Amino acid sequence: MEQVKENFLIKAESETNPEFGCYPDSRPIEEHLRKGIINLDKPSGPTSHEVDSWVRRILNCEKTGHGGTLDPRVTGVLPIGIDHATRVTQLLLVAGKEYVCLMRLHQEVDEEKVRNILQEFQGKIFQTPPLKSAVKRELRVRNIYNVNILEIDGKDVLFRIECEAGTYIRKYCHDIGEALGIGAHMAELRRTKAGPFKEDETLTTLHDLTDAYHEWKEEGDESLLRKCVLPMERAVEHLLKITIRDSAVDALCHGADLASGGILRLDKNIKKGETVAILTLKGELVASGEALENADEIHKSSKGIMVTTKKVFMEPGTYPKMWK
Amino acid sequence: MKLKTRKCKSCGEYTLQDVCPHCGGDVGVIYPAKYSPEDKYGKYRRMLKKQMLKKQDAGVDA
Repeated sequence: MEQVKENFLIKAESETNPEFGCYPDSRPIEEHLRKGIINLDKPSGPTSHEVDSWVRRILNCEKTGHGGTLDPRVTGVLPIGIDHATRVTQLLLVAGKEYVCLMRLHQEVDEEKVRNILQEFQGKIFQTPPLKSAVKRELRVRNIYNVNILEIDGKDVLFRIECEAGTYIRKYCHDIGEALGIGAHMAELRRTKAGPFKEDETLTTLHDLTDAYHEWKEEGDESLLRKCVLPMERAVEHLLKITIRDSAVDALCHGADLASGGILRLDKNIKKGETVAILTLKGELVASGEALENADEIHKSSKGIMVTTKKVFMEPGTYPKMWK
Repeated sequence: MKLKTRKCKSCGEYTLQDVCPHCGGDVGVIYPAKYSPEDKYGKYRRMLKKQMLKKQDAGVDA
């Protein structure tokens, strides 16, 4: 409770009606699947889209979507949203990523020189997307938050890099090679983080997923599947949050913006223009939006629109209609 | 092609060496096993998993 008080500003108190909605962790298994997200360990070989369609086949679901494409040879964290949670992955596309990369230099060079260059290639860097890419090829700025050299072994440099969404590590290695004047390429890459998802006990392989689904269908044991598939709320853990009244939920589901009166508590770090996740008192994800004021102003306000709704994730009719 | 990066099985650190430089633990490969959508041997994999679970349970009891 102390923790909650520290990070949140409490604007009003209210209770939630147990007759509507459902706590994310206690959804029935079918609903859990439809609103589920998988922290998948992508194998080397297939493209991200192939992995997507394999998951669709394994789980017999209608839709899947992934949060940030990985090249065929790259492995690691690839969050995959199922059915209703497919669109939630859009919030992950723009989230920060972390990789472990092995860069191979094309000639022997002083270790010190490599360290200095990598030091320089931090913060804002310019990058042109590679020849074969999904986006328009024009110079763009990307933020490198942190580069940490783990080991240097002759021409091989192993490093961990934290970067903004849309950074091409292959290009990053190439550019470092150019800067050193000897050339370099990316030899091996593994994603270790995508937004809130990282290499932990939730990281699931396609094999585990297949077996868990099998166990549920054939033996009726859903416990394994619940370990593999996480509630979609896990995908917004990296965002700032606002909790709203039951009475405001359905209006938002129909596309209304969030007004001051509907807000119960909010993250005290919310700044104007930032993306926020809007949750019910049960912790269900309703929508994502853009804050129109800083946390303090929202806290003090008594009327007016505080957050514009960007993407709605909850189905209309989950909560009763309280607006006219 | 063989990949050079290794990952410690106990502390999860990445390294190029044969022994984890941080904790001295065993290192393993960094990528998950290949998967095929046909999953021809899934049945046997599940059998093995069950056996191992049973063994584990028996070990705890004893």
